[in-house]
Amino acid sequence: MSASANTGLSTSLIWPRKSFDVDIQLTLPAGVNVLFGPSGSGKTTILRYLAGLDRDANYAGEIYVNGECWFKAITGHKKYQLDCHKRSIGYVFQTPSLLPHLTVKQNLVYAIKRSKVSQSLVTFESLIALLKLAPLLHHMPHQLSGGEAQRVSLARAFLIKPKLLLLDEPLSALDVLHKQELLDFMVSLFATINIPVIYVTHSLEEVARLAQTLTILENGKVKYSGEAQHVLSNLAVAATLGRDACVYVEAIICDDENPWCLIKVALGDAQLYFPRSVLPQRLAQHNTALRHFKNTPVRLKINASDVSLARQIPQQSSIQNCIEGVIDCVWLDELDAYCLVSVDVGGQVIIVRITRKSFSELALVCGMTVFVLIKSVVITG
Amino acid sequence: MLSLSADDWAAVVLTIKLASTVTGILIVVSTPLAWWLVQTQSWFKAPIVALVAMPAILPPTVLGFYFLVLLSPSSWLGHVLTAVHIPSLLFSFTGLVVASVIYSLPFVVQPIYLAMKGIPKATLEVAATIGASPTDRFFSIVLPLSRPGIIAAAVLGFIHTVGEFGVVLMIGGNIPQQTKVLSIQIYDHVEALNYEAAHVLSGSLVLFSFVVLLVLYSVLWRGANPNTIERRSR
Repeated sequence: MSASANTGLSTSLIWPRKSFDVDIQLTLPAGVNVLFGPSGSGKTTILRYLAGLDRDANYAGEIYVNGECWFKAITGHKKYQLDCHKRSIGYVFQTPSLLPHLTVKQNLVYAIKRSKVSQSLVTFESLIALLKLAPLLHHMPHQLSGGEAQRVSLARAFLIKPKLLLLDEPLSALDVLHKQELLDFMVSLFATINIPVIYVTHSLEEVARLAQTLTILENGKVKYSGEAQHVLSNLAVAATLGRDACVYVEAIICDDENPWCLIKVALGDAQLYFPRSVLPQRLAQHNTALRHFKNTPVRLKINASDVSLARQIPQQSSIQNCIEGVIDCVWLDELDAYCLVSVDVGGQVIIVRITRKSFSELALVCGMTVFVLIKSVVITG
Repeated sequence: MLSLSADDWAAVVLTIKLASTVTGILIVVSTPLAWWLVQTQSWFKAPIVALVAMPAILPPTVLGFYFLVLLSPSSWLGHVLTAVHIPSLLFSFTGLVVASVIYSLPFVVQPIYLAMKGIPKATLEVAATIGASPTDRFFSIVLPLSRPGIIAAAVLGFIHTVGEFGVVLMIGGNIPQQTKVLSIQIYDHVEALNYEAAHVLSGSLVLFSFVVLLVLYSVLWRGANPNTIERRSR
């Protein structure tokens, strides 16, 4: 078995269904692996399969977690199957799913008691502190808001000390504010563990924020899979996302010592200015002392529609964020008003979505040096 | 209650003893049975459900008649029992218990079944992902969440056994402190045209049933089922 299979998840599944046949093969490392795709593309199916929730389904395939076999079946043969309760997993469901007859604390203790790994109290205390659960411990689940309940579910999944963490659109039932808050929590939590996390979502924001690898599913098949930045900057992927196409690039926060209420971010050699509002809540809370975050690496999520191209540095333009780059690749579709251009800016790729008309009038070709004008970004993580 | 005779008191005590024993046995039997019925996908389920429900619709005299035939020393079961030196169950307290258990079974299984059926599948899946085995899930999730149903079942089973008459008459007979339960005692009073004594016992029974049901339903409606609360809040 390969080295990656020993420290991550290696799985395959063939499952004929009425709507479509699931046929996937995935090798995913420790870290956050996002499964992305439209509803009904098989994302939840894969999570349920990994968890072992549908005992009697006629799956064929195998599951290896850190080299340990959880499931193995060849069509028509006797299968090996570890029951769901014997798999070391943490599962966060789409809708809050606390045990309704137990208090928050009892819910957490329920998990600790059944954890396959002995538990230190320190972890419990620090988790409670991190997720701000202390005031909720004696509440019943029905007294919690959706966001609070999901926080408890997240804590519960961590307290199991799982070998595999499965999250099924954990933010989809929450409002925008709670989404941001929980995302911040998850970023900090995921940083503390070294296990494969399978995170199902159809939000590109969550992808940009969390994803280490990105797997795009369609009709039960893996369409693209790989390092998240790489998959997102693939023009074929961007084309299917249409106006939502985006990439993220790694940048560094410089400072905000200027009279314009802007923060300065370094992307390679270029310096970009953005309003503070693009900062994530985690950083924005400390806006009085932003210099503490000087040199903090961040991800910039750049939507392809928020970027334009110029062949020269525009004179007297309101758009000041301008980076020099080289056209890497172009995606043209005769039936679409828009085309996609990927531009290499110092080793990272930005995708630009412009009309075919301007593409043609600018006479752009691969290898040409251009200037990318960024109207806005979202800074994540 | 000064007007209760010693015989009446004996009947009351016997009735309570019978109903408690029967309720205890029924809860122990019906809880796993109901959970099996909720979970199973076997073709076997339909005939079992029908069998369990039958005592609810058959006239008690029919049940009593077959118990009488089955338990009589000349039946095959009677032969077997005699062979292993088990005294005949007819006209005995044990016989009453056996018959009452079957007679009241549907009234106990039904509420438990409904309560268990109301537990969302997702809740059990959550417990499984946390690492709870099927037995663990039964005790830590299913039992607590169906507690209101189990309480209702116990109360209904108890009251139904108290109110039993036909079966007792057929197989229990009329032996004081053995098989002479409240309903038979009332019947005897009426036969003897002792309406006053019949009134005391009947009236008490009416009041008792009303109070018990009142308490039961008001507790249930207050939302003792955390399960229903949870679903409402969604």
